[in-house]
Amino acid sequence: MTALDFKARAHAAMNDARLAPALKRMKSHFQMGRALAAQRFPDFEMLRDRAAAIRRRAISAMPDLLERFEANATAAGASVHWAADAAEACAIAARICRDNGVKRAIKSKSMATEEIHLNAHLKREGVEPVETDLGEYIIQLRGERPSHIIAPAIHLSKEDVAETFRAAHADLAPDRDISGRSELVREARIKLREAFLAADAGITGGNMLIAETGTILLVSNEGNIDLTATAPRVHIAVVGIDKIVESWDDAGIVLRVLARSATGQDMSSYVTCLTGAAAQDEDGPKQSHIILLDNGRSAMRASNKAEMLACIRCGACLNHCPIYAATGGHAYGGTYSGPMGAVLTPLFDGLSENADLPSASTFCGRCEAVCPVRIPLPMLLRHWREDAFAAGIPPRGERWGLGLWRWAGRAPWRYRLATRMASWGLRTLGWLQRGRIRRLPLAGGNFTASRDLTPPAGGTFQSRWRGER
Amino acid sequence: MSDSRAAILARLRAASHPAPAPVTPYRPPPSQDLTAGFMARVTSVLGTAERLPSQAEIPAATARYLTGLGLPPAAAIAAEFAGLDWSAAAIAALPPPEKASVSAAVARAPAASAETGTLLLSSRDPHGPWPDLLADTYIAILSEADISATFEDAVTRRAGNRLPRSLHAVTGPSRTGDIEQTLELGAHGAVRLHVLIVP
Repeated sequence: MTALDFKARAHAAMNDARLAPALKRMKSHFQMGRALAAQRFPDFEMLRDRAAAIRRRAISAMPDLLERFEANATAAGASVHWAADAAEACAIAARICRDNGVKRAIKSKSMATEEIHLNAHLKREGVEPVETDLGEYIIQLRGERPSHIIAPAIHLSKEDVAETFRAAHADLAPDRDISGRSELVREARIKLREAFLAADAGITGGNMLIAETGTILLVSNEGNIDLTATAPRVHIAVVGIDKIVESWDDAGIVLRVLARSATGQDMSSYVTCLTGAAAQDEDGPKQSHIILLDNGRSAMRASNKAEMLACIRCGACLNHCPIYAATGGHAYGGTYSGPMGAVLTPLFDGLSENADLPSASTFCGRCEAVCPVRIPLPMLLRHWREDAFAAGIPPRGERWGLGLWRWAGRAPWRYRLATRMASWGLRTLGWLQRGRIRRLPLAGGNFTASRDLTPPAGGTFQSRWRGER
Repeated sequence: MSDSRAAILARLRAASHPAPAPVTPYRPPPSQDLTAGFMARVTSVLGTAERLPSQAEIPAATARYLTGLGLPPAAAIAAEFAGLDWSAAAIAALPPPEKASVSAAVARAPAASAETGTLLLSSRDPHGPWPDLLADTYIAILSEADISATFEDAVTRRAGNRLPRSLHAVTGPSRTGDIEQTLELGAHGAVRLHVLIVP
């Protein structure tokens, strides 16, 4: 991927006539859902404060809590593995499948496994992974990546889904009606039910690791996680080390902000809590493996982006972001999208390859305003911009322009002179172009290529401020 | 493997972060009537619930529910309730629910939370989580005394000395919004959830 890719992809996305209506629905669905759920709760801001503190306590005590989690999970019969990076996590999962003769695996939606490209690796190893979250199943059939962390197929219409099922389900009778959403859900339910009951292994992620008891907690609305983690004989969970929390009391508070922030529900329809392996007289897999994934997280914890580890992957920042709403998730080019993706992707896939992402923000602050754990997302994106500048990544023109701006800003008289000249210049351009600025010189041409600029009405802000007083 | 464990922990220990003060656990405002609270919440998430005067009423209530929706009058009956008079209610009592698909299942939900209308099943239940996960219609039998105020309370009551391998907190029927962000019920778990609350 090159530095130009975000711009190119964003441009293509904004010209995609089918994407706009899908993204427009986000407003009524996710934004209103969250607002109403927050309003219903007696004191949602208090709950956010507590959730924010819980996650920061967990970041602080991370090494101790992970060891405690490992000890308790092991005592309950699970096998805990540590993976430094994506390659090691994939190798561990493949080895577990090999050792147990696993040919068919079912999966619940897991951003961690997306991040490490586990499906591609398992296929190379002769294991056929089938995604079971409806959205994830649809995009798996289409060979796409998720465009939203909690609604992976948000960019598709029901017609797209029907077309996908027709192409993939060989035994689907040509005269069977799958034009409606309910029929599509029913069709996936029947197909995936067979897969659940035939699978050798189930692979999940994890929303929280509860140190107190060595429990993995997961949320879903479909019930597919429950089936994935209990129906096959082997369970493998791939979970980022950042998902650690200390206790069930802590997990309860995070759970309460998670569902409300994600989908506007008071509680996710299914909350699955997995502790160790099943006893002889108990339903469920007798073998349970937990792969604790670092993949850059410990380095992130030592950097000025450590607060990003508090993220609980609810998707509220995507749902409220004007950039995401215009471009959709694929434009971001990584596993994660929206404001949280713009912070995470340079970390996982490299800053020079994703130098545009920290600028894919207007710094309007809505992401921070809705973040259930109060992550200062605009500030973290600003840190990335600083890092990019320090590493000499932005092109020379941009660096030169920023340097000039810095020089002007460091002396009040220079700044006043510069803004006065700019204001005069814009008014002159407006007069020359009869009231609307249709063409700006230099880099400004990028702005006027797709819209006009209104000339400034009066003096500069500073001169008006002095005048008002 | 152990090399990565040591390396990850060493990297984590090399950086320190201040810890905020411990957080007080959340307690919802006390509710006078947990049963009424549970029933209101389960209805708000598109489940249904009714109170029965006694366990003996379960077959008749099951028949009313199934025939009312035009569903076949047959259900997999948990061993515990197999002795009830199902033939009098004209319900074909199928063998207890197991790891297989079935149109309807009648089985106990051994714990519940009133705060969100949540049922708590577990791998230690006589029929595991299957009545909810593999039946199209789950008719849950819930004893009033098994309703706790919160999810955490329900978990504590179910855990005993050792947590079950899996706990399944179920709030309403299974659902998805993955196609055009429009709610559809019955993605993978129960399409319909009806709770019969008994004394």
